[in-house]
Amino acid sequence: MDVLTVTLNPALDRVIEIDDFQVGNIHRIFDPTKVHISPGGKGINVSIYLDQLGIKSVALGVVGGLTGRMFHMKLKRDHDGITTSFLYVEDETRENMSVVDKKGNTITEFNLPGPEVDEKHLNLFMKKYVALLSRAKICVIGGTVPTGVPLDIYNVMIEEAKRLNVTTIVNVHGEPLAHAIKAKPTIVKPDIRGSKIVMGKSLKTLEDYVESAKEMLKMGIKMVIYSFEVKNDLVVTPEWTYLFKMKTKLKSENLLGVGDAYIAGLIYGMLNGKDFLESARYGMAAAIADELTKEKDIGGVEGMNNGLKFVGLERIST
Amino acid sequence: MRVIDFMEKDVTAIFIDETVEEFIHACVRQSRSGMPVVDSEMYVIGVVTESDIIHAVIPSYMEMLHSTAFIPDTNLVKKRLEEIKNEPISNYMTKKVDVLKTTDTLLSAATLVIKRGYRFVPVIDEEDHLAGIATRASLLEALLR
Repeated sequence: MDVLTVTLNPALDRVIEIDDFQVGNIHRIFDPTKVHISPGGKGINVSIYLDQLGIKSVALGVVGGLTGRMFHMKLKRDHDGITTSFLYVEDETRENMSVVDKKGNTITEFNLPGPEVDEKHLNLFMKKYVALLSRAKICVIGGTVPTGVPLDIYNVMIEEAKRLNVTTIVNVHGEPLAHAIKAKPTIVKPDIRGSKIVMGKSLKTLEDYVESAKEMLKMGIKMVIYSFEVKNDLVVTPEWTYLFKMKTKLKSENLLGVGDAYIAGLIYGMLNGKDFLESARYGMAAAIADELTKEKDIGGVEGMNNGLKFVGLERIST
Repeated sequence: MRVIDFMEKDVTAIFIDETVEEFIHACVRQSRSGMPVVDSEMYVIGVVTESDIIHAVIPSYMEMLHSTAFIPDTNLVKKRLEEIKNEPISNYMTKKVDVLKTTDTLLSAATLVIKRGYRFVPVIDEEDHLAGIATRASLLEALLR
């Protein structure tokens, strides 16, 4: 097992396509292809994309209730390359439901609450984490922290991974991100979709992003990846700073999970002996491949390699 | 077909120092009848099933009587479970269990399950870590393919 992905608060994603969606009306759906159910959550998504790239991973997470069982079953059924290790709690796993109305061009979302994780279950989870970590080369930590779990949990997890010489990739936001950064993970890809404030600083211009990334490098982090103006990625290491751009304007089918596809592509490069620059190219190629499809699908290695031809690089400083 | 091709790739297990109560909750929440028992490095060191716990809480003479109707008071069973619920699962697991390797054949897995009557068998990888479980249903499904 090379890769361990950690998702403390996974979700079952349901997307229902309804033309002319109207509040207060009954919408009967007779076409099963209009309903899409998929396990989600940052670490889980990375595992799904890695499976498409032929890389096996262990997905560790907290699930609960009937939704949790369905989530687990669906993941096992659809993804043979993913080994699961879930801690079951009493409360229901989160469910995110989206109603997509293509005719009206709207998306209506319902995000249900996730489970509460008490100290006893958190301790059990950490025990599983440490046991699995000892066999991993790369550990991906992503997503929100469930109710009841201290916000510095990712800091503790990264410290543990460092103790075992495991490369850590972190994709979180808000206060948990601030705590995670303090533990100096190997790679940070801050999730700034909700708020563009990182380490107390507001990010507006490209210079703000570069400065923020360099501040993290000074702390000992090896690589920082920022999504910049949605379609571009700023990638900073102690040796170089590049802005990755799309060479051609392409029609996006979806933006859901592209950040997670990026991490899967990055890992693909790293496990194949590529340096950070080349691995970042694979990352962006995987994200582009995902963007060109409707659901979480990058079309395997072929799809990702196809995405490579759209990756443009601009070196913006040394 | 090899075991890796049909096993359940799930390494959910119970740690040796987890309690009987935690095991019961884990079984109920996951609809499982038993689990591999692992140490802190995910080496399989035993197996524990619902039956192991039932046998532990029902008076030993019941095996001769073949009916729970002979139990003088069900509170006895409840009391016994109360007594052991905080004990480590290692007190009730079966040690020295049969395991399958990911490289074993479907036939050898089927033989083991039929011969011993196991509902599930832990599967270990090339480094002897837990890699999943082979269940009766997963075996039958593999035979259907």
